[in-house]
Formats: sequence, C-alpha cells, structure tokens
Amino acid sequence: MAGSSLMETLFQRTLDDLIKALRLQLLGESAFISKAMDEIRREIKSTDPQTKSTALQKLSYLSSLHGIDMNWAAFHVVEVMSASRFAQKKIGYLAASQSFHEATPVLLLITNQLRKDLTSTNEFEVSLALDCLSRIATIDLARDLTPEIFTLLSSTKPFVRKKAISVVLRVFGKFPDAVRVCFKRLVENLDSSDPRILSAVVGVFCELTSQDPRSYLPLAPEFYRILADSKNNWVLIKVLKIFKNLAPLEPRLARKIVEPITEHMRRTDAKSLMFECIRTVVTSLSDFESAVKLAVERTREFLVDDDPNLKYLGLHALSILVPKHSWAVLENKEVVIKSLSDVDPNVKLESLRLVMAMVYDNNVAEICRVLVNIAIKSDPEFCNEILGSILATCGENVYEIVIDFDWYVSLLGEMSRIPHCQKGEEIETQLIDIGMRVKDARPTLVMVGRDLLIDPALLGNPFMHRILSAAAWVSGEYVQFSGKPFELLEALLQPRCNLLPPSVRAVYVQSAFKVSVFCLNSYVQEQYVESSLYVDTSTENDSESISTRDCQDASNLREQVETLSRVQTCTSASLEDNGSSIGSIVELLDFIQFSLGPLTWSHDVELLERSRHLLNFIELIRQQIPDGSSEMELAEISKIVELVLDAFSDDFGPISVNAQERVTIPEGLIFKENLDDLEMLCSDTQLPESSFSFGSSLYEERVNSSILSQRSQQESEPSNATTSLLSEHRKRHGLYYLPSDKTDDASNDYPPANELKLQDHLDDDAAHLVKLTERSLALKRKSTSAKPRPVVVRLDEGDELPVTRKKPQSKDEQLSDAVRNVLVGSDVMPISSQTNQSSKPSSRRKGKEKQNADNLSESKENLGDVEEQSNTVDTSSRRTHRRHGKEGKQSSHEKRSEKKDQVHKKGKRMSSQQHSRHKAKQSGDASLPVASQTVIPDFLL
Amino acid sequence: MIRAVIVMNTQGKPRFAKFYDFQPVEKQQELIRSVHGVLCSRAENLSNFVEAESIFGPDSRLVYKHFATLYFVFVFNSSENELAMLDLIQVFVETLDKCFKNVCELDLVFHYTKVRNSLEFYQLCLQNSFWLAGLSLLFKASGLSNSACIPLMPCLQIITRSVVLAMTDYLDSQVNKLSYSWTTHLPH
Repeated sequence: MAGSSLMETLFQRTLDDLIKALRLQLLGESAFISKAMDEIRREIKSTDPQTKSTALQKLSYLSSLHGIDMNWAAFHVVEVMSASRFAQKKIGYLAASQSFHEATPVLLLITNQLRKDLTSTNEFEVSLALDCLSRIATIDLARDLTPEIFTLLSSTKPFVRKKAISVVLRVFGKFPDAVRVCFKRLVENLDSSDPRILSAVVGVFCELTSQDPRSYLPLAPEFYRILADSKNNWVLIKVLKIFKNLAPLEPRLARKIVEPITEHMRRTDAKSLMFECIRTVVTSLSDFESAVKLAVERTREFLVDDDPNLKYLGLHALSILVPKHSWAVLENKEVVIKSLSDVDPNVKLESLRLVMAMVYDNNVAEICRVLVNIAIKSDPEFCNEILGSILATCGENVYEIVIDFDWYVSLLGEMSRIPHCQKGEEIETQLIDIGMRVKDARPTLVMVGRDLLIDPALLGNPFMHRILSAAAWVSGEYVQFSGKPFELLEALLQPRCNLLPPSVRAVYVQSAFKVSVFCLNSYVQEQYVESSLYVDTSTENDSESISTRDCQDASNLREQVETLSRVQTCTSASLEDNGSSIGSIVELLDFIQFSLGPLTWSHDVELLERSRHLLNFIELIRQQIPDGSSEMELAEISKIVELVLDAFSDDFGPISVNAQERVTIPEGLIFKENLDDLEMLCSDTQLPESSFSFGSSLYEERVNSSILSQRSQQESEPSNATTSLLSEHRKRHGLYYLPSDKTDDASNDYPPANELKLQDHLDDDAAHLVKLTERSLALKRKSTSAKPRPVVVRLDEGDELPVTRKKPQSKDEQLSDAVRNVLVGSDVMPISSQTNQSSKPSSRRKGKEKQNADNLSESKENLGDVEEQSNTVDTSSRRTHRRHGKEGKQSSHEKRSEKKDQVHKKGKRMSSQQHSRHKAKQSGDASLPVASQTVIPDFLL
Repeated sequence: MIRAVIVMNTQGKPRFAKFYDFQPVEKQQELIRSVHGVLCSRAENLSNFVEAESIFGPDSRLVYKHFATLYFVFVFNSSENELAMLDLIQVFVETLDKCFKNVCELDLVFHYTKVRNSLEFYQLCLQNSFWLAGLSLLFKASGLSNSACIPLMPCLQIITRSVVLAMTDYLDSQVNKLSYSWTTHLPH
C-alpha cells in the first residue's frame, strides 16, 4: 500500500501537467476529461495527503472551467481541509468554497475545523477559513462561529480584521442574532485609520443599507465624518452609496450632506467618484436646486465626452432626473437627440428612454414622427425598441397623452408597415382596444385597416399576421364606416389569404360574414327606398335595425337613408359591370361561395365552422333570390338579414380584467372536488381516436340564432344520438353534472358559453359610466391643438392588472429588527425618536450592548460607569441649551470640549487617531449653519 | 459586491471563472455561454456595459473589457460603481501583464494557479470581495513596503509575492494612466 502510494505520488500528474496534456490531447476533450476523472477518482482515495490534495486541485480546476460536477468529492474536500500543510489546506478550502452549498451534507463536519483555523495563530490559516466561511456559511455555521468572528473583529492584524469584517455580512444575513454580538465592534471599526479596514467596513454597511436603510440612520454621523474627511475614492464611493439610501428617509440629513457632496463634485478629477456624486444628487437630493444644477453641469461634461461609457452614464443620470427636473433634459436636448443615432446600442437605448420621458400630449406627434423616421433607418433590434417604447408610452394609462386618435391610428398603420416591425401583438391589441374605446376613431381605423388588408404583399410577412387579424376584425365590426364594402370583401377573401394561420383566417371569414350582411342590408334598404313601398312600416324597421349600429339617434331616419344610398352607390360602382343591383348581389354571393368553398374541408375547427356559417347564410339568401325583385322575396330577405344584423349589432366595449371574478359561481357547482375518479369515469366512454384541435377564438361573437336553429334542425339526428348517450352517462355519474329538472333534454341545459360573459359585460357598461379621460396633466402641458379629444371609454377599475406587492423577506426583517434593537435600544421605539432617547437615562441601563443605543459617537466616549452618569446629564443639558439661542450653544460647545479633553487625558484606549477625529468633528461642528444646528441636534456631534 | 469574475476567449471557452454566489456547475456553464452570446455580438469600441439582469437576475450589472483574444467580465450589483469596476479590470489585466510579460491567452491557460492567486490577492475578501481594500492599500504608496499583506510565509507561493511586487511597480509608474479613478482626491 505504501509502495503504491509512493508510486502514485511520484508519477502523479500535477495540475500543470493536466492542463498541458489537455491541450495536446488527440482523443477529444470530453474523452480526455473522463479519463482524467478516472485518474482523479483513484488518486483522491489515496492515503497520502499530497496525492489527495493534488487530485482535488485538478478536480476543482476541471469543475471550474469544464463544468465537471464535484459534489461527490465533498468528503474528500473535508479531509484535505484538515491537512496540516498549508498548501494542501489551501486547496481544500478553495474546493470547499467552490463546491459547498446549503444542501451539502458534510457541512456539519467542518464546524470544528473552521473553528480551529479561525483561532489559529497563523493569520493565513485564519484568512483561509474566513474566505471560505464568507462563501459557504449556513445558519448553523454562522451561529456556531459567531464568537470567533467577534474576536477576530478586533484582531490586531488588519489583514485578518478586514476579512472578518467582510464575513460579518454573510453571517448577519444567515443568522440575524449575531448582530447583538458583533454589531458594536463592527461600528467601532468605522473609526479605524487603516484604509483597508475602513473600506471593508464601509462596504459592509453599503450592502446592509441597500437592504434596509432605515435601521442604519443612527449611524449617519459616522458616515458623515468619513464623507467629509476621507481622501480615498473607493471609500467615498461607498459612503455616497450609503447616503443615497439614507437621505430620502431623513430630510435633515439630506440638507446636511449636500454641502460636502457638492464640494467633492467641484474638486474631484476621478470620474468614478464624480459619477457617484451625480448619481447621489439626482436620486436622493433632487430637491436641492444648486446641487442639481452642478450635477447637470457635470453630467453635460460626460455627455460630450468621446468615451461611450461616460456618455451612457451621463444619459443614465439624466433619465433619473427626468421626473422631477425635465429642464435638465431640455437643456441637453441636442445631445440626446444626436445620441439616438449613436453607434452604441446602450447609448441609443438610454437616449430613447430619455426622449420617451419627454413626451407630452402636445409634442407626442412630432416626437413620434422623428422616432419613426429613425426607426426606419436603424437596425432591426433598435427599430423594435423604438416601436415598442412608442406603443408603450402612447398606450399608457388608456392613451392618456393621445389627443388626435386619427393621427395615432394612422401612425399604428404606418408602424406596422416598417419592414423590421415585430410588434404585431402590441399593435393588434391597441388597434382593437382603440376601436372599442374610442368611437370617433373608428372611421380612420377602418380606413387604416382597409389599407393593410388590400395589400397582398403584407400577407407573406408572419409578423404582420396579428396586425392583419386586428385590421380584419376592425373592418368587419365597423364596416358601416367603410366607403367600399365590396372592396373590403374582396380583400378579406383574396386567394393569398391561405398564407395566414387558421386562427387569423377565422377572423377574416367572420369579418367577411359581417361585411356581406352589411352589403345585403344596404341593398335591401335601398330597394325599399327606391320602390317607396312600405314606407310606414319600414320606418320602424329601419330605425330598429340600424339605429343600434349606426347612430344613437333613431329618429333621424333621413340621414340614415342618405348614408345608405351613398353606400349603395359606392358598392355598385365598385363592381365592374355596374349593372342592376340584384346582379351585383348575386355576383357577391357567388364570389363568397367560390372563395370559401375550399375552407369547408379545413382541418381547423374554428375556421371550418365560421366558413360554414357564412356559406349556410348565403344559401338561405340564395333560395329567395331567383327573381328577388318581388316584394314577398324582398321581405323574406330583409327578415333574414335583419335577424343576422341584429346579432352583430351589439357594440363591443372594453372588458374589465377582473370581470371573470365578478361572475357568481352557480349554486351547487363544486370546484374543489378531487377529480381522481374522473379517470374511471372517462374510461367507459370511448373517446374518438382523432384529437380535436380547438382554434383559439379571438373574438366572441354571438352566433345567429336563426342559423343555429337551422343547423340544429339539419343535424337533429346525430345530436339526438349524442343526447341519449349523454343522458345515460348522466344517470350513472350525476355528481359531475349541473342539477337539472329536465333529464331528457340534456343538451339544452347548458348555457351558451358566451352568455354569462356578455351579460356581465353589459352590466359592466351599465355600472361604469362612459367618461372622459381625466386629464391629470399639469396646466402647462395643456394641448394647443384645436381638436377636442374624443371620448375614450375607461373602466373605473380593472384596466390594469392588480399589482401584488412583494412582501419583504422575513430574514431581512429579522436582521433589521436586530440592528434596530442594537442601535436604538428597543424595537418599539421609532427611529425618529432616537434624539430624545439619549436623554433618558433608563435606556442606558438596558444592557452592555445597548449602551450603544443612542448616539454612537457618544457611546465611544463612555469609558466607564463613573463617566456615564455625568455624561448623560451633560447630554440632556446640552440639548436644552441648544433650544435657546446662541449663547447656550456656545457654552455647550465649551462644555463638550472640556469634557472631551478630560476624557482624553483619562482614557487609556484613546489614541491619537481618535484625537484627530475629535478635532475634525469640532471643525465640522463649527462650520454648521446656526439654523440647521438647532434642527439637527444629533448629527456631527 | 462583485458577483462573478469571468475570463473567456472570443470563442467562448472559459479561461477563468469565479462565482461568488453558489451556482451549480451546469448553471455556471450556461451563464458563461449566455454572456459570451451577448459579448460576441457586440462591435468594437462600444461602451463596456451590458444589460445583465436577463442573465444574472435582478440587481446585476456587467462590465467587460476586450483584450486581444480575451474577454474580461465582471458581474456586480448596485453597490459597486461601474467606472470603478472598469478600472479594476484594467488593474487586473495590467497585473497579469506584469506577471507574464506581455500576457496572452496561453499564459492564462497554463498558469491557472497564478491567475487565481493574483486575483485573490487584491480581492482579499471573497464574498464581498472588496478589492478596494487591496487597492486602497496600493494607493498609499508609502504604506506598501511595510504592508502585512505581502506574504512572508514560505508556503505561500512565491508567485503571489511577485504579483504584489509587480503591482507595486506598476502603480508607481503608471498611476496616471488609468482613466477613471486613480487620481487621489485631496479636499482642502
């Protein structure tokens, strides 16, 4: 055994050998690696620590760069970690930090090893353990090792101390109770003069405050001191980030830090610090005019820089400012617009965002024009970004900024024709949505829809299909605004339509249905008018059938007749022969039958059914047509047409998102029943072999009742058969059926699928008044255009999906509670009351850690219990002095410095560094403006 | 904090990868692939930021630099300054350059341990990876010579020491060359 081990050691491949061999291998990488893995598996079992650790090193290399799993070696990792030689131990620790995670079972075994290394006298071993712990600490590890870390936090070796500080972050995250033990020491490290320690501890607080800023407000004076004194850019950046989070919570603090930050902005040459200052000002100090001005000035330097990084960040800073200070962007308008055609995608995107933030109702048209022109010229990706942001901005809050819908609808049409456009879905939604919400936009919508439909070239582009489906629906639904319905029909039934997916095709067919009904109706009406027959009766008929569809005012018949005749002339003009109307109608019917014929064999259920509906309807009409001029037949036709027209006459409105929720669940319908035994149930009914394909029905239409009855008569025999089967099934498994009185006629028991929804929708309309969109815009933004904004239907609620607020994680809460506990003394006390708290002697006696409670800088001065009492008195008296004018303050100043001097003489651990800090504090104090000092008692003591 | 450091070549082969949040190996490979997918589609002379939230989850940013055949990628969260991170890449690369005398991809391939050590040196605290701890040390040129940071123990590789020395030399001579952060700020 010893011999083989020796052999292995001598002839083992090191990591370097492995890497070299890996590059020279001829048998393929994966084969080579699996061979090497076999080798490693053998070597890692060796008793010789050197062989074992080298094997582990190779394994962690392969795992890191070649994605080899190394979880299986977890126990070997533990073994190598406990090696006595440092080089081997190091390999073990590295492997552990690389591969261990919460679920690794052997984590339980390493607690003692870690503890041993953390308490080692060798600082490098300590640092290895700390490094590892910072990656793999679990709740258990953090809890068990907190005392060791606490000790290391005041290590004399900066090398160890700063690592211990960093580890604290992870430990706090895992085990919030550690705060009670470690927090005070951590805070003490803020006074360190060593830049490494300082930057580490500031970094830790930067992370902590980003999670929960409120808890760390009491530490603001400490951070302020660093902000004012530090000369280290890295530390300053971190402190600025801390203040960025703290400042919004405490207006007094914001007032305090403006001064030093502007000072940094004036002085620094380092771009990174400059940017951090700018970012802090624009996010958290945007109320301070002078600071913002300076920040914008500096941002401009970034904007005109050649470096794309700076340009990008400058634009980013501006975009943060936009909501509050839009002038900043206006000032830099040229740069922003120019950046839209920059080569850099980041810069382009950021400037696009800025431009969109500047859009108001009075400039939306111009800006969109510019943007669309840029979109046409730019690459596909950015083009779609532009289109997407136009759609999002204009559609925001139910088209709040759009006033001229005719313009917007034609813009949508234009946008869909841009070759790179991939925003079909969004455009589709908006086209339909506008159709339903904005009555006045419908004529333009139909026009735009027609332009899209008649262009056969568009059919070939798959991205267009969604838009075309919307266009088809719109032109079918609002066909009365169309000048040439015949043309529309031709467009809807053109041969190239077979390029469309079935779901869109179904919409086309349905729209063709509506259009043809409309044509027939106008023909019938015209016949009536021409022959002047039944004038009296037709008045009622007319007003009934059309009023709902065409205009609200039913009595205005004459106008209607005029429009009808206009339409009729148009339709007849569109036909080539221009002959008798009856001829043109017959031609129309022929055309529809001809084009829909092939669809009756379609595999898509939706498409099949809709085309059948239309064809059957035409068949009905055709029966009456042979010499359709006679009165009787005309009346017959008009009866059918009116029936169908009636079905289409309901105006669609927007539906609230939570409409479904308002539908009451019928009595006795059990949703939460366990449906396991359905399996058994289904097994005794034979399912058909072929699977159904349900085309997604995009728009719910009310199916014409006459056709329905027709069809049901035709199909009475098969339906009877199914009914009997169904009723038999019902007898056996009554549970899964709705309760019913009539058991025979089961098929009639089921309400039509659309009924409920439609009913609800009507209720909706009744409940929610159609109202003008509230113009929440500021006065200055008021539009100058003369055109009044059309009515936009808007639901009171449920236009947007309800946003569920994310709950903060319990762990974070625990941590912040713990921190608050330590800092403030008790979690009941709100932070803002901390100023009063220090004057209460009771809070001082709460415990050793909680001495830290009130003001931290004060707590440093508490050297012993003897001092404490006088100190407390001093503080409280100082506070009372403050409230009286200058004299009182003067005296308190003196008192304080006196006291500090005393402390300095007595105190053993008071070092020179603290003395200098004390000085700095005094100078900072002296520069305080009088007014703010009375308001801010605690900062900068 | 820094969340990941990746060095990969232009073909997408990782040369060095370190993830500071635990990631299963498959996930690591996937992340590297998606980062490469984004980077290789970018032209030269563009800005060095890449939208990373789609790859690394919320609150993550990515900066990269392209040197010869290598991408150096740093992923970090909002607690770091973007420009400072760019400078860190610069320091990292120049340190490697000092170490290997005209560093090239092959150096990184053959001296994996060296690279790791040089990274570890100034990274110092792994999880929150305050490089700045090391860097601020380097700022203070005076503090360098007596620094406890230079490993004296024989068992630490000599390499690490050479890295430290290289960095010292480098910083003494070229402090002004770095673009964003290296001018020390002196108020009053």
